[in-house]
Parts: sequence; C-alpha cells; structure tokens
Amino acid sequence: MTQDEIKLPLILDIKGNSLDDGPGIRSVVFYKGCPLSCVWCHNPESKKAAVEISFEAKTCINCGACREVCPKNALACDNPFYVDRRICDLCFLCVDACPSGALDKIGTLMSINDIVKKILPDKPFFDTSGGGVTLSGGEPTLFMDFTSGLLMSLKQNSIHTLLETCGFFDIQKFIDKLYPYLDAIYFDIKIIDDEAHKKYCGVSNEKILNNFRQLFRKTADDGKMLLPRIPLIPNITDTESNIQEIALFLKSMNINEAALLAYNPLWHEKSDKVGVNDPYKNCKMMTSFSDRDVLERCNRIFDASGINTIL
Amino acid sequence: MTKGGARYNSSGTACIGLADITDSMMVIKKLIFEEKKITFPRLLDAVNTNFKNDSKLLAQIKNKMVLFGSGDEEALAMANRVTKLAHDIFIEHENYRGGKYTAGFWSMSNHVAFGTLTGALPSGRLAGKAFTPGLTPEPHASRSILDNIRDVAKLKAENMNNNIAFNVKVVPGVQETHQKNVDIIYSYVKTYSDLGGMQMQLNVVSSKTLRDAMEHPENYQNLLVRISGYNAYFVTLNREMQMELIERAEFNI
Repeated sequence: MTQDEIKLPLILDIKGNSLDDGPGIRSVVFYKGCPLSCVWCHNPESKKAAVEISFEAKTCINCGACREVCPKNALACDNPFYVDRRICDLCFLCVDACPSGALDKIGTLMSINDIVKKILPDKPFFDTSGGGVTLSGGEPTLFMDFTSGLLMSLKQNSIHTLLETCGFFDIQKFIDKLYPYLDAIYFDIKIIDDEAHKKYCGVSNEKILNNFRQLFRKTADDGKMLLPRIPLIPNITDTESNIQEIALFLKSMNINEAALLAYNPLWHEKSDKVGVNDPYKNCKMMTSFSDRDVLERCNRIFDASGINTIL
Repeated sequence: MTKGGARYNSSGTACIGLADITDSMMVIKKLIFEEKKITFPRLLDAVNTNFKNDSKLLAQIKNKMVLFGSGDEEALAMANRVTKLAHDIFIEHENYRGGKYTAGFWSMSNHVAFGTLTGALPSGRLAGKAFTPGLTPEPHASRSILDNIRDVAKLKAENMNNNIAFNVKVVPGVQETHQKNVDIIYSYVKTYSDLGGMQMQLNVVSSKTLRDAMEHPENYQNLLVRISGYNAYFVTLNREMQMELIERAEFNI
C-alpha cells in the first residue's frame, strides 16, 4: 500500500497515564501501520496498516466457543499460532464468542472526535503535571491529513502535543501539515550505515537522516523540542561503530542531548500473538534486557562527544 | 456529659464492598437484562457453586464487563445509585441520642474478615476472597489509575456523609528520580481534589517488596503500610490481610 492510498488510520490503542513518552502524565495514541519493518519492532502488531486477529495462549481457557462459530475452520489447537491466517477471513465471530479475551481484533477505525473524546477526561491530569498527548505507533506520519486534523483539535483544546517518529516521511508535507501543531518531536535514529539500515529496517536511511537535519535547523530556529532517540538493539544498533557514527552525526549539528532507549525483549510474546515468525526467539541476547555494561559503554561514547544522554 | 444536647449527634456506619456490589449489579443489568446473554438461574447456579462448573461465565465476567473505576459512565452511575440507596436508608433511622445514621464507605481491615465469611458474587469475586478495600475499584477495572481516580472523585459526596477510604498502590520506577515520583503523585492527588475527591491514601511500595517481607519479616520490621483508614506494620498483619495488600491494583509510576 502506498502512502497516498491510506487515508484513515487504524488505532491500536490509547494508553492513559503514560509516564515514559514525554513530559508529565500523557495519553499515547498508537497508530497501526509503519513504512519501516525493523526486525526488533517492539510493537509487531503495529507494523501492518490493516486489521489483524490476535491470540494469546496464556489467556485462553480452552472452552471451544470460538471453534464452534468459526465458519472457515481456521482455528486448531495443534497450530502453534492457533489461528490459520491463510484461511481466516477476519469475520471476528470468534472474537465475539471468546469469553476470556484470548482472541482479539487488532486495530480500530476511530474518528478524530472519537480519539479526542476518549482523551479529554484525562486533561486535568495533563494540566497538573505538565503532560499532554503523544502520537506513536506504528507511524503517525503515514496519515498526514488525519494526523494534522487530530493535532489541530488537540491544540484547540490547549493540549501539549508530542510526536514519536521513525523519520521516514515527506518533509514538505510534514512541515505544512504537522509541524505547526507540534510542541515536541522524538525522532528515532537507528543505524547510520545505509546497507545495514536497509537490512534491518527495510528501507534506506537517506531520507530519515536528511529529514532530521532539516527539522533540526527548523526546530532550533523556532525553539521547539527535537529529541533524537537511539534504541539500543543488541549487536544491531548498540555496536561500538554504530554508536560512534550516531554521536558523530549528532555532533555535526552541535546537538548536545539524546535519549538512549534500553532494550526490552517483551515484544517476542506479541509476535506470537499476531502469528508472525520470530527469527530471534531463541537468541539469548535478543531475549534479555539491556546489560548495564552496554548502557554504560554507549553512554561513555556520547559523553566523549559532549552529548548528554537521558535514559 | 451531653446535657443540653450535643450539636452533632449522628452515628456513623461503614459500608464494605461498594465496588463488589456495583460490579455485581452491572453484571445482572448487562448480561441478564440488556444483552440477554445469560439467565438468572444460570448466574445463581454459578454463584452457588463458586463458578466451579461455569468457568466460561467467570471468564466472560472477568474480561468483558465494564467495571466501576474503568471510566465507564454507566458503572459510575450504578455506584452512585448504590451509595444513595445506603445513604437514604440509614438517614431515615434515628439513634438513641436522637441523631441520624450516616453512611460511610471504608472498611478498616473488615473487608478481609467479612470476605472470608461470604460466598461468591455475580462480579466474579470468588467465595472467601477479600472484598475490595474501602470504596476502591477492582484491580482489573482499568490499566490506568487515572480512570480509578476520576471515577472515585465523581462519586457524590452527599451520599457518603460518614466519609470514605480510597486506597491506591503505586510502584515507583527504578529509573525514575525521587523528584519525578513526587511530582507524579502530587499530580494524582491534586487532580483528584480538583475533581471533587475528598480522601485518598497511597501505598508507595511494590508487591515484590511485600512478598519478600512475608518471607523475611526480620528484614522489614519498620515497613509501614496503609490498610484502609489506618496504618500498620506489615509484618504484624495476618496472612489474609497481607495477601489482600499484595493483590491490590498496582500502578507503575
């Protein structure tokens, strides 16, 4: 699907009381659909822009209600993913029948009004904590017009807005449609070597790095916040050479602050739920949390370049 | 001592299990009357047998019902209806001093003791388990503590004239600075008061710590916890009370 064909995003989740996605107490709107396909994606259910079915084995009470209603016989206990997604036509009769919530529909079509209405009750908490709303995903910039309207509506309600982005977007559209309504941008920088970026993230990083440079100049002029964030993925992004190159890239713009995101292996379970084969399932490094030593090593590299890191 | 008459002569009551009653009423309202998914005899049978023969119904109730404390308007309206009912009944009665009975919603540690004597409820609370403490929502009512706080703040104070106890357990993140934790808790309490809340009490401790204190009480002689209207040394509590504290909803900050 190209960017132009997608008009309305599916929303994965709206998470209240988030304390890790920007200042204060925030609500995070997770979009579904992303132009990148990072092998370590922490929200594997957010990669596709289409509705999906998920199954969580540990929640299932094996009552059989779903198998009784499935018109396609797509559900089988001997299938490790339970749902045969080649046969399933996403009628979701099983989800309605499931008493435990083990089967679930991933992705909901919501209007801008629906989203704002859901968020507004938490506004008093934003106001007392200096918080607001964070758009995340998935990738909100895949849906420029919708996101523009949503941000506009949030600003009309005097809500602080923050965007988390992979940086792969049309910069002109971004500046015209989103930028005016954004208070802060968290911009992921993953891999500097383009071949490695293509291999692990599915696209070239040329556009991403160019967008970052342009946005850096613009935010510096306007006094808006642009925070580069580096996810530390074992042996992929956290290598000595990649961290050095990122530090160099940031230093070339005199940037003095970056966020390091410690690795968190909890996404493996989520891969199973949406029936995606997980090549790192048995990889020890990819199934444990970031080592303290690794964090300290990366910290030191940034320190040496005069870049202050926040965890 | 009361010659001439004390100005305020009321007697206070303490009602236990507001969330248990509200959620039970919601199950009956939704599943039996509105959605017609189950019958009264089926629910009665499930409750009488502690849901042993109807795990499907228990799963449905536990996972698909909207509860008090989830931000759902209907559940909140039901909670206000329950508190009003209790208030209106008590206020009609006169005590021996000629004063009125007032309705309170706090439980000291009685939600645990009374729970051990009570059978299963339509809300899915199993026989013998503790009731919810004070007027605190069920732990699984919402993933967000803000929904709990907003709902409790919106309970009508005039129906709760012998006061309330709202217990909240928060776990500070290991990476967070002390200042950030203080700021976040400030924001919870301030917003709650702004929205009309009248009392809340916080435990800032993780279940992991409490479990460790059960195993190694010698290391935790000074660990003070808030029960429901009073403080106690955790290691001096009985096992049921300790478990109830551990099972309370835990929100990361």
